[in-house]
Amino acid sequence: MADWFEVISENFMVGGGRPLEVLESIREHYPIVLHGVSMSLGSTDALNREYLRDLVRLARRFNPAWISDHLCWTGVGGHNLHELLPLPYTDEALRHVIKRIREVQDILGRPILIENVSSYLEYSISTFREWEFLASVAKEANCGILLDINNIYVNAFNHGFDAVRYIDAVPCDRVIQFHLAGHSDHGKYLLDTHDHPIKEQVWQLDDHAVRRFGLTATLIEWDDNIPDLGALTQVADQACDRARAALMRHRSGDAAQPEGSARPAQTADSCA
Amino acid sequence: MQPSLKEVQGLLKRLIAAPEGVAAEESRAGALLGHELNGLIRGDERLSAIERLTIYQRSYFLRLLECLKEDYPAVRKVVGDDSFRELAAEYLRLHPSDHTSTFQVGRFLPGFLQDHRLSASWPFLGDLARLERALIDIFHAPDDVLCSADEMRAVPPHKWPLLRLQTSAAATILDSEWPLDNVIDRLNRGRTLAPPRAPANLTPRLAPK
Repeated sequence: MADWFEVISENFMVGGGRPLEVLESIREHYPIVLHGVSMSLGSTDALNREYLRDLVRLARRFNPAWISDHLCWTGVGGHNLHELLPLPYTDEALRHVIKRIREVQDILGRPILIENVSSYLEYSISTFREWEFLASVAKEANCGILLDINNIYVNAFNHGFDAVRYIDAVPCDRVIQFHLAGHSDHGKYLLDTHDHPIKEQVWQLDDHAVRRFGLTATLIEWDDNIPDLGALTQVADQACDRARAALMRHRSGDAAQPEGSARPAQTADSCA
Repeated sequence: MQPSLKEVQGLLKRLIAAPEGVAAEESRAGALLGHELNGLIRGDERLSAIERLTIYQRSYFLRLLECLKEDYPAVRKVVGDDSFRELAAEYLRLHPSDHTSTFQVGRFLPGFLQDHRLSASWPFLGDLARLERALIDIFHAPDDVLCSADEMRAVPPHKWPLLRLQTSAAATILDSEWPLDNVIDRLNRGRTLAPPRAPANLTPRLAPK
Protein backbone atom coordinates (compact mmCIF):
# COMPACT_ATOMS: atom_id res chain seq x y z
CA MET A 1 0.00 0.00 0.00
CA ALA A 2 1.26 3.49 -0.79
CA ASP A 3 0.96 6.09 1.99
CA TRP A 4 2.09 9.06 -0.05
CA PHE A 5 3.43 9.98 -3.49
CA GLU A 6 6.45 11.76 -4.86
CA VAL A 7 6.22 13.46 -8.25
CA ILE A 8 8.83 15.07 -10.47
CA SER A 9 8.06 18.79 -10.18
CA GLU A 10 9.08 19.66 -13.75
CA ASN A 11 6.51 17.27 -15.24
CA PHE A 12 3.76 19.36 -13.65
CA MET A 13 5.16 22.82 -14.35
CA VAL A 14 2.94 23.12 -17.42
CA GLY A 15 -0.02 25.30 -18.39
CA GLY A 16 -2.73 22.71 -17.84
CA GLY A 17 -4.01 19.37 -19.04
CA ARG A 18 -4.61 15.90 -17.75
CA PRO A 19 -1.45 15.24 -15.67
CA LEU A 20 -2.32 18.18 -13.41
CA GLU A 21 -5.86 16.89 -13.09
CA VAL A 22 -4.59 13.44 -12.11
CA LEU A 23 -2.30 15.00 -9.53
CA GLU A 24 -5.25 16.96 -8.12
CA SER A 25 -7.18 13.74 -7.58
CA ILE A 26 -4.16 12.04 -5.95
CA ARG A 27 -3.69 15.05 -3.69
CA GLU A 28 -7.29 14.74 -2.47
CA HIS A 29 -6.43 11.39 -0.90
CA TYR A 30 -2.68 11.32 -0.26
CA PRO A 31 0.14 13.60 0.85
CA ILE A 32 2.54 14.40 -1.98
CA VAL A 33 6.10 15.67 -2.13
CA LEU A 34 7.60 17.60 -5.03
CA HIS A 35 10.96 16.29 -6.23
CA GLY A 36 12.85 18.45 -8.73
CA VAL A 37 15.65 17.63 -11.14
CA SER A 38 16.41 21.06 -12.64
CA MET A 39 17.05 23.50 -9.81
CA SER A 40 20.76 23.14 -10.55
CA LEU A 41 21.71 24.29 -7.05
CA GLY A 42 25.42 23.93 -7.72
CA SER A 43 25.58 25.70 -11.09
CA THR A 44 27.57 28.91 -11.49
CA ASP A 45 24.76 30.30 -13.68
CA ALA A 46 22.34 32.67 -11.95
CA LEU A 47 19.40 30.96 -10.24
CA ASN A 48 16.57 30.38 -12.69
CA ARG A 49 13.93 32.79 -11.35
CA GLU A 50 11.29 31.73 -13.83
CA TYR A 51 11.69 28.10 -12.75
CA LEU A 52 11.44 29.05 -9.08
CA ARG A 53 8.37 31.18 -9.75
CA ASP A 54 6.70 28.19 -11.42
CA LEU A 55 7.71 25.96 -8.50
CA VAL A 56 6.21 28.42 -6.00
CA ARG A 57 2.99 28.35 -8.02
CA LEU A 58 2.97 24.54 -8.11
CA ALA A 59 3.63 24.34 -4.37
CA ARG A 60 0.80 26.78 -3.68
CA ARG A 61 -1.60 24.66 -5.68
CA PHE A 62 -0.64 21.27 -4.25
CA ASN A 63 0.74 22.12 -0.82
CA PRO A 64 3.40 19.37 -0.77
CA ALA A 65 4.66 17.94 2.52
CA TRP A 66 8.12 19.04 1.34
CA ILE A 67 10.09 20.04 -1.74
CA SER A 68 13.39 18.42 -2.69
CA ASP A 69 16.10 18.67 -5.35
CA HIS A 70 19.65 17.44 -5.77
CA LEU A 71 23.03 18.51 -4.43
CA CYS A 72 24.47 18.85 -7.92
CA TRP A 73 24.61 21.02 -11.01
CA THR A 74 22.77 20.18 -14.21
CA GLY A 75 24.17 22.70 -16.67
CA VAL A 76 26.02 25.97 -17.17
CA GLY A 77 26.13 28.81 -19.70
CA GLY A 78 22.39 28.51 -20.26
CA HIS A 79 22.79 24.93 -21.47
CA ASN A 80 20.86 22.30 -19.50
CA LEU A 81 22.51 18.89 -19.76
CA HIS A 82 19.64 17.23 -17.82
CA GLU A 83 22.31 15.25 -15.93
CA LEU A 84 22.80 15.34 -12.16
CA LEU A 85 26.50 16.25 -12.10
CA PRO A 86 28.55 16.12 -8.91
CA LEU A 87 30.28 19.21 -7.57
CA PRO A 88 33.95 19.35 -6.70
CA TYR A 89 33.99 19.20 -2.91
CA THR A 90 35.92 22.43 -2.39
CA ASP A 91 35.51 25.50 -0.17
CA GLU A 92 34.41 27.53 -3.17
CA ALA A 93 31.68 25.04 -4.14
CA LEU A 94 30.59 24.73 -0.51
CA ARG A 95 30.13 28.48 -0.07
CA HIS A 96 28.46 28.76 -3.45
CA VAL A 97 25.87 26.04 -2.94
CA ILE A 98 25.04 27.09 0.64
CA LYS A 99 24.31 30.63 -0.57
CA ARG A 100 22.09 29.33 -3.36
CA ILE A 101 20.09 26.97 -1.14
CA ARG A 102 19.46 29.83 1.28
CA GLU A 103 18.22 32.00 -1.58
CA VAL A 104 15.94 29.25 -2.87
CA GLN A 105 14.53 28.68 0.61
CA ASP A 106 13.83 32.41 0.94
CA ILE A 107 11.96 32.37 -2.36
CA LEU A 108 9.99 29.21 -1.55
CA GLY A 109 9.37 30.37 2.00
CA ARG A 110 10.27 26.95 3.42
CA PRO A 111 13.29 24.73 3.89
CA ILE A 112 14.05 22.25 1.12
CA LEU A 113 15.61 18.78 1.15
CA ILE A 114 18.76 18.12 -0.84
CA GLU A 115 19.51 14.68 -2.22
CA ASN A 116 22.93 13.07 -2.58
CA VAL A 117 23.45 12.06 -6.24
CA SER A 118 25.02 8.97 -7.75
CA SER A 119 28.27 9.79 -9.52
CA TYR A 120 30.82 8.29 -11.85
CA LEU A 121 33.65 10.75 -11.38
CA GLU A 122 35.54 12.49 -8.60
CA TYR A 123 37.53 15.70 -8.84
CA SER A 124 41.21 15.77 -7.94
CA ILE A 125 40.71 19.28 -6.56
CA SER A 126 38.20 18.11 -3.90
CA THR A 127 39.29 18.79 -0.35
CA PHE A 128 36.29 17.20 1.41
CA ARG A 129 34.79 13.75 1.19
CA GLU A 130 31.27 13.63 -0.21
CA TRP A 131 29.64 12.95 3.19
CA GLU A 132 31.53 15.83 4.82
CA PHE A 133 30.37 18.14 2.05
CA LEU A 134 26.74 16.99 2.34
CA ALA A 135 26.75 17.38 6.12
CA SER A 136 28.29 20.88 5.96
CA VAL A 137 25.86 22.06 3.29
CA ALA A 138 22.82 20.81 5.22
CA LYS A 139 24.02 22.40 8.44
CA GLU A 140 25.10 25.75 7.01
CA ALA A 141 22.18 26.15 4.60
CA ASN A 142 19.78 24.91 7.27
CA CYS A 143 18.08 22.46 4.93
CA GLY A 144 16.95 18.85 5.17
CA ILE A 145 18.47 15.78 3.52
CA LEU A 146 16.82 13.29 1.21
CA LEU A 147 19.24 10.43 1.65
CA ASP A 148 19.43 8.13 -1.36
CA ILE A 149 20.70 4.83 0.04
CA ASN A 150 21.25 3.30 -3.39
CA ASN A 151 23.32 6.32 -4.49
CA ILE A 152 25.58 5.88 -1.48
CA TYR A 153 26.06 2.22 -2.37
CA VAL A 154 26.73 3.05 -6.04
CA ASN A 155 29.23 5.80 -5.16
CA ALA A 156 30.96 3.62 -2.56
CA PHE A 157 31.62 1.08 -5.31
CA ASN A 158 32.49 3.63 -8.00
CA HIS A 159 34.87 5.61 -5.82
CA GLY A 160 36.03 2.95 -3.41
CA PHE A 161 34.83 4.15 -0.02
CA ASP A 162 32.94 2.55 2.85
CA ALA A 163 29.19 3.16 2.52
CA VAL A 164 28.63 2.66 6.26
CA ARG A 165 31.18 5.33 7.07
CA TYR A 166 29.22 7.70 4.81
CA ILE A 167 25.90 7.01 6.55
CA ASP A 168 27.46 7.34 9.98
CA ALA A 169 28.72 10.82 9.08
CA VAL A 170 25.33 12.17 7.98
CA PRO A 171 23.74 14.33 10.70
CA CYS A 172 20.71 12.58 12.18
CA ASP A 173 18.60 15.68 12.65
CA ARG A 174 18.68 16.54 8.94
CA VAL A 175 17.44 13.36 7.28
CA ILE A 176 13.75 13.58 6.36
CA GLN A 177 13.38 11.06 3.53
CA PHE A 178 15.08 8.04 1.94
CA HIS A 179 15.24 6.93 -1.66
CA LEU A 180 15.74 3.28 -2.54
CA ALA A 181 16.29 2.03 -6.08
CA GLY A 182 17.83 -0.67 -8.24
CA HIS A 183 21.06 -0.11 -10.16
CA SER A 184 22.86 -1.93 -12.99
CA ASP A 185 26.25 -3.57 -12.68
CA HIS A 186 28.56 -2.59 -15.56
CA GLY A 187 31.53 -4.50 -14.18
CA LYS A 188 33.90 -1.60 -13.74
CA TYR A 189 31.19 0.64 -12.34
CA LEU A 190 27.60 0.64 -11.11
CA LEU A 191 25.04 2.72 -12.98
CA ASP A 192 22.06 4.22 -11.17
CA THR A 193 19.38 3.15 -13.65
CA HIS A 194 16.23 2.86 -11.49
CA ASP A 195 15.09 -0.06 -13.63
CA HIS A 196 15.95 -3.09 -11.47
CA PRO A 197 14.82 -4.57 -8.18
CA ILE A 198 16.72 -3.24 -5.16
CA LYS A 199 19.91 -5.26 -4.58
CA GLU A 200 20.30 -7.16 -1.29
CA GLN A 201 23.40 -5.12 -0.34
CA VAL A 202 21.38 -1.91 -0.72
CA TRP A 203 18.64 -3.36 1.53
CA GLN A 204 21.31 -4.14 4.12
CA LEU A 205 22.62 -0.59 3.89
CA ASP A 206 19.04 0.62 4.32
CA ASP A 207 18.76 -1.50 7.50
CA HIS A 208 21.84 0.29 8.77
CA ALA A 209 20.42 3.70 7.83
CA VAL A 210 17.19 2.88 9.68
CA ARG A 211 19.18 1.97 12.77
CA ARG A 212 20.84 5.38 12.62
CA PHE A 213 17.96 7.62 11.51
CA GLY A 214 14.90 5.73 12.73
CA LEU A 215 11.80 5.02 10.66
CA THR A 216 12.02 7.40 7.72
CA ALA A 217 9.62 8.13 4.84
CA THR A 218 10.99 5.94 2.05
CA LEU A 219 10.31 6.16 -1.66
CA ILE A 220 11.08 3.36 -4.12
CA GLU A 221 12.37 4.92 -7.35
CA TRP A 222 11.49 2.95 -10.47
CA ASP A 223 11.65 4.89 -13.76
CA ASP A 224 11.99 2.18 -16.40
CA ASN A 225 10.86 -1.45 -16.82
CA ILE A 226 8.27 -0.51 -14.22
CA PRO A 227 6.52 -3.51 -12.62
CA ASP A 228 2.77 -3.43 -12.09
CA LEU A 229 1.43 -1.39 -9.20
CA GLY A 230 0.85 -4.45 -7.01
CA ALA A 231 4.48 -5.54 -7.29
CA LEU A 232 5.67 -1.99 -6.69
CA THR A 233 3.61 -1.43 -3.56
CA GLN A 234 4.88 -4.79 -2.32
CA VAL A 235 8.42 -3.40 -2.46
CA ALA A 236 7.24 -0.33 -0.54
CA ASP A 237 5.66 -2.63 2.07
CA GLN A 238 8.87 -4.64 2.20
CA ALA A 239 10.80 -1.43 2.95
CA CYS A 240 8.44 -0.70 5.87
CA ASP A 241 8.57 -4.25 7.24
CA ARG A 242 12.35 -4.46 6.93
CA ALA A 243 12.81 -1.10 8.60
CA ARG A 244 10.63 -2.11 11.56
CA ALA A 245 12.43 -5.43 11.87
CA ALA A 246 15.87 -3.80 11.68
CA LEU A 247 14.86 -1.35 14.37
CA MET A 248 13.48 -4.09 16.63
CA ARG A 249 16.68 -6.11 16.28
CA HIS A 250 18.74 -3.01 16.91
CA ARG A 251 16.82 -2.11 20.06
CA SER A 252 17.22 -5.62 21.37
CA GLY A 253 20.97 -5.29 20.76
CA ASP A 254 21.21 -7.70 17.84
CA ALA A 255 22.27 -5.50 14.93
CA ALA A 256 23.30 -7.28 11.78
CA GLN A 257 26.26 -5.83 9.98
CA PRO A 258 26.04 -4.78 6.33
CA GLU A 259 28.21 -6.77 3.97
CA GLY A 260 31.59 -5.23 3.30
CA SER A 261 31.34 -2.85 6.20
CA ALA A 262 34.51 -2.07 8.04
CA ARG A 263 32.77 -0.87 11.16
CA PRO A 264 30.42 -2.80 13.32
CA ALA A 265 27.04 -1.11 13.18
CA GLN A 266 26.59 -1.21 16.95
CA THR A 267 29.33 1.35 17.46
CA ALA A 268 27.71 3.95 15.19
CA ASP A 269 26.31 6.83 17.20
CA SER A 270 22.77 5.95 16.34
CA CYS A 271 19.98 8.45 16.76
CA ALA A 272 17.17 6.01 16.05
CA MET B 1 46.52 27.46 -10.39
CA GLN B 2 43.38 25.63 -9.37
CA PRO B 3 40.51 26.17 -11.81
CA SER B 4 37.44 28.00 -10.54
CA LEU B 5 34.07 26.27 -10.20
CA LYS B 6 32.87 28.16 -13.26
CA GLU B 7 35.84 26.93 -15.31
CA VAL B 8 35.35 23.34 -14.12
CA GLN B 9 31.68 23.41 -15.08
CA GLY B 10 32.36 25.05 -18.45
CA LEU B 11 34.95 22.40 -19.33
CA LEU B 12 32.78 19.49 -18.20
CA LYS B 13 29.75 20.76 -20.05
CA ARG B 14 31.81 21.02 -23.21
CA LEU B 15 33.16 17.49 -22.85
CA ILE B 16 29.84 15.87 -21.92
CA ALA B 17 27.94 17.53 -24.78
CA ALA B 18 30.75 16.81 -27.26
CA PRO B 19 29.23 15.18 -30.33
CA GLU B 20 32.47 13.44 -31.33
CA GLY B 21 33.22 12.02 -27.93
CA VAL B 22 35.08 13.16 -24.83
CA ALA B 23 38.57 12.24 -26.03
CA ALA B 24 38.37 14.24 -29.28
CA GLU B 25 36.94 17.26 -27.51
CA GLU B 26 39.42 17.01 -24.67
CA SER B 27 42.41 17.41 -26.94
CA ARG B 28 40.85 20.63 -28.24
CA ALA B 29 39.39 22.00 -25.00
CA GLY B 30 42.31 21.00 -22.78
CA ALA B 31 44.76 23.01 -24.84
CA LEU B 32 42.33 25.90 -24.92
CA LEU B 33 41.70 26.12 -21.20
CA GLY B 34 45.14 25.10 -20.04
CA HIS B 35 43.83 22.54 -17.60
CA GLU B 36 44.87 18.94 -17.82
CA LEU B 37 41.83 16.70 -17.54
CA ASN B 38 43.79 14.19 -15.49
CA GLY B 39 44.62 16.92 -13.02
CA LEU B 40 40.94 17.69 -12.63
CA ILE B 41 39.13 14.34 -12.79
CA ARG B 42 40.49 11.40 -10.87
CA GLY B 43 41.23 8.35 -12.95
CA ASP B 44 42.15 4.96 -11.51
CA GLU B 45 43.07 1.44 -12.62
CA ARG B 46 39.40 0.71 -13.32
CA LEU B 47 38.42 3.77 -15.32
CA SER B 48 40.39 6.70 -16.71
CA ALA B 49 39.16 10.28 -16.42
CA ILE B 50 38.02 10.17 -20.04
CA GLU B 51 36.12 6.90 -19.51
CA ARG B 52 34.40 8.37 -16.47
CA LEU B 53 33.30 11.42 -18.42
CA THR B 54 32.18 9.21 -21.28
CA ILE B 55 29.62 7.58 -18.96
CA TYR B 56 28.05 11.03 -18.60
CA GLN B 57 28.42 11.85 -22.27
CA ARG B 58 26.53 8.70 -23.32
CA SER B 59 23.85 9.19 -20.72
CA TYR B 60 23.42 12.83 -21.82
CA PHE B 61 22.85 11.91 -25.45
CA LEU B 62 20.68 8.85 -24.77
CA ARG B 63 18.39 10.72 -22.40
CA LEU B 64 17.74 13.49 -24.93
CA LEU B 65 17.47 11.01 -27.80
CA GLU B 66 14.73 9.25 -25.81
CA CYS B 67 12.92 12.58 -25.34
CA LEU B 68 13.01 13.27 -29.07
CA LYS B 69 11.88 9.72 -29.86
CA GLU B 70 8.93 10.10 -27.51
CA ASP B 71 8.00 13.50 -28.91
CA TYR B 72 8.36 12.60 -32.60
CA PRO B 73 7.34 8.94 -33.02
CA ALA B 74 6.02 9.42 -36.57
CA VAL B 75 9.11 11.28 -37.79
CA ARG B 76 11.23 8.46 -36.35
CA LYS B 77 9.15 5.81 -38.08
CA VAL B 78 9.45 7.60 -41.41
CA VAL B 79 13.24 8.05 -41.39
CA GLY B 80 14.14 4.91 -39.40
CA ASP B 81 16.13 4.51 -36.17
CA ASP B 82 19.61 5.13 -37.57
CA SER B 83 18.76 8.32 -39.42
CA PHE B 84 16.77 9.54 -36.44
CA ARG B 85 19.76 9.05 -34.18
CA GLU B 86 21.96 11.06 -36.56
CA LEU B 87 19.28 13.69 -36.83
CA ALA B 88 19.10 13.94 -33.03
CA ALA B 89 22.88 14.38 -32.75
CA GLU B 90 22.91 17.14 -35.39
CA TYR B 91 19.89 18.82 -33.83
CA LEU B 92 21.26 18.80 -30.28
CA ARG B 93 24.55 20.28 -31.49
CA LEU B 94 22.67 23.27 -32.88
CA HIS B 95 19.88 23.40 -30.29
CA PRO B 96 21.23 22.20 -26.94
CA SER B 97 18.54 22.22 -24.26
CA ASP B 98 18.15 25.64 -22.67
CA HIS B 99 15.10 24.77 -20.60
CA THR B 100 14.47 23.10 -17.25
CA SER B 101 11.85 20.81 -18.79
CA THR B 102 12.63 17.94 -21.13
CA PHE B 103 9.27 18.67 -22.83
CA GLN B 104 11.01 21.65 -24.44
CA VAL B 105 14.08 19.81 -25.72
CA GLY B 106 12.61 19.13 -29.17
CA ARG B 107 10.68 22.33 -29.73
CA PHE B 108 12.89 23.56 -32.57
CA LEU B 109 12.93 20.26 -34.46
CA PRO B 110 10.14 21.17 -36.94
CA GLY B 111 12.06 24.26 -38.10
CA PHE B 112 15.34 22.34 -38.10
CA LEU B 113 13.82 19.68 -40.35
CA GLN B 114 12.45 22.21 -42.81
CA ASP B 115 15.89 22.75 -44.35
CA HIS B 116 17.37 19.38 -43.45
CA ARG B 117 18.60 16.97 -46.14
CA LEU B 118 16.11 14.34 -44.91
CA SER B 119 13.36 16.66 -46.13
CA ALA B 120 14.72 16.24 -49.66
CA SER B 121 13.69 12.57 -49.44
CA TRP B 122 10.52 13.17 -47.42
CA PRO B 123 9.34 16.71 -48.14
CA PHE B 124 6.44 16.42 -45.69
CA LEU B 125 8.79 15.74 -42.75
CA GLY B 126 8.85 19.32 -41.41
CA ASP B 127 5.05 19.47 -41.43
CA LEU B 128 4.79 16.07 -39.77
CA ALA B 129 7.09 17.30 -37.00
CA ARG B 130 4.98 20.45 -36.65
CA LEU B 131 1.93 18.26 -36.14
CA GLU B 132 3.67 16.10 -33.52
CA ARG B 133 4.95 19.20 -31.75
CA ALA B 134 1.45 20.67 -31.73
CA LEU B 135 0.14 17.55 -30.00
CA ILE B 136 2.63 18.05 -27.15
CA ASP B 137 1.78 21.74 -26.79
CA ILE B 138 -1.94 20.95 -26.83
CA PHE B 139 -1.50 18.27 -24.18
CA HIS B 140 0.07 20.79 -21.80
CA ALA B 141 -1.95 23.86 -22.84
CA PRO B 142 -3.67 25.93 -20.14
CA ASP B 143 -7.17 24.76 -19.27
CA ASP B 144 -9.72 27.26 -20.55
CA VAL B 145 -12.93 28.25 -18.89
CA LEU B 146 -15.51 27.08 -21.39
CA CYS B 147 -18.77 28.81 -22.11
CA SER B 148 -21.71 26.68 -20.99
CA ALA B 149 -24.90 26.12 -22.98
CA ASP B 150 -26.88 28.05 -20.33
CA GLU B 151 -24.54 31.03 -20.63
CA MET B 152 -24.98 30.92 -24.41
CA ARG B 153 -28.76 30.85 -24.04
CA ALA B 154 -28.64 33.83 -21.73
CA VAL B 155 -27.22 36.05 -24.46
CA PRO B 156 -30.12 38.02 -25.99
CA PRO B 157 -30.47 37.61 -29.78
CA HIS B 158 -29.76 41.28 -30.52
CA LYS B 159 -26.27 40.82 -29.06
CA TRP B 160 -25.44 37.79 -31.19
CA PRO B 161 -23.78 39.81 -33.96
CA LEU B 162 -21.31 41.11 -31.33
CA LEU B 163 -20.25 37.65 -30.17
CA ARG B 164 -16.79 36.55 -31.19
CA LEU B 165 -15.71 32.92 -31.24
CA GLN B 166 -12.38 32.25 -29.61
CA THR B 167 -10.47 29.04 -29.95
CA SER B 168 -9.27 27.33 -26.81
CA ALA B 169 -5.58 27.59 -25.92
CA ALA B 170 -5.48 23.86 -26.62
CA ALA B 171 -6.57 24.34 -30.24
CA THR B 172 -3.99 24.77 -32.97
CA ILE B 173 -4.67 25.10 -36.66
CA LEU B 174 -1.95 23.71 -38.89
CA ASP B 175 -1.81 24.46 -42.56
CA SER B 176 -0.13 21.80 -44.66
CA GLU B 177 -0.23 20.85 -48.29
CA TRP B 178 0.60 17.26 -47.34
CA PRO B 179 -1.92 14.57 -46.37
CA LEU B 180 -0.44 14.17 -42.90
CA ASP B 181 -3.43 12.20 -41.65
CA ASN B 182 -2.66 9.56 -44.30
CA VAL B 183 0.96 9.46 -43.20
CA ILE B 184 0.05 8.95 -39.55
CA ASP B 185 -2.60 6.41 -40.48
CA ARG B 186 -0.17 4.35 -42.59
CA LEU B 187 2.48 4.48 -39.87
CA ASN B 188 -0.03 3.42 -37.24
CA ARG B 189 -0.93 0.43 -39.37
CA GLY B 190 2.72 -0.57 -39.31
CA ARG B 191 3.52 0.36 -42.91
CA THR B 192 6.67 2.11 -43.98
CA LEU B 193 6.87 5.05 -46.31
CA ALA B 194 9.19 4.98 -49.28
CA PRO B 195 10.64 8.36 -50.14
CA PRO B 196 8.75 9.97 -53.02
CA ARG B 197 10.70 9.42 -56.25
CA ALA B 198 10.96 13.05 -57.25
CA PRO B 199 11.70 15.26 -54.24
CA ALA B 200 10.64 18.39 -56.07
CA ASN B 201 7.42 16.84 -57.24
CA LEU B 202 4.79 19.52 -57.66
CA THR B 203 1.95 17.17 -56.83
CA PRO B 204 2.37 16.26 -53.21
CA ARG B 205 1.46 12.66 -52.68
CA LEU B 206 2.76 9.64 -50.92
CA ALA B 207 4.70 7.07 -52.84
CA PRO B 208 2.87 3.79 -53.36
CA LYS B 209 4.00 1.09 -51.03
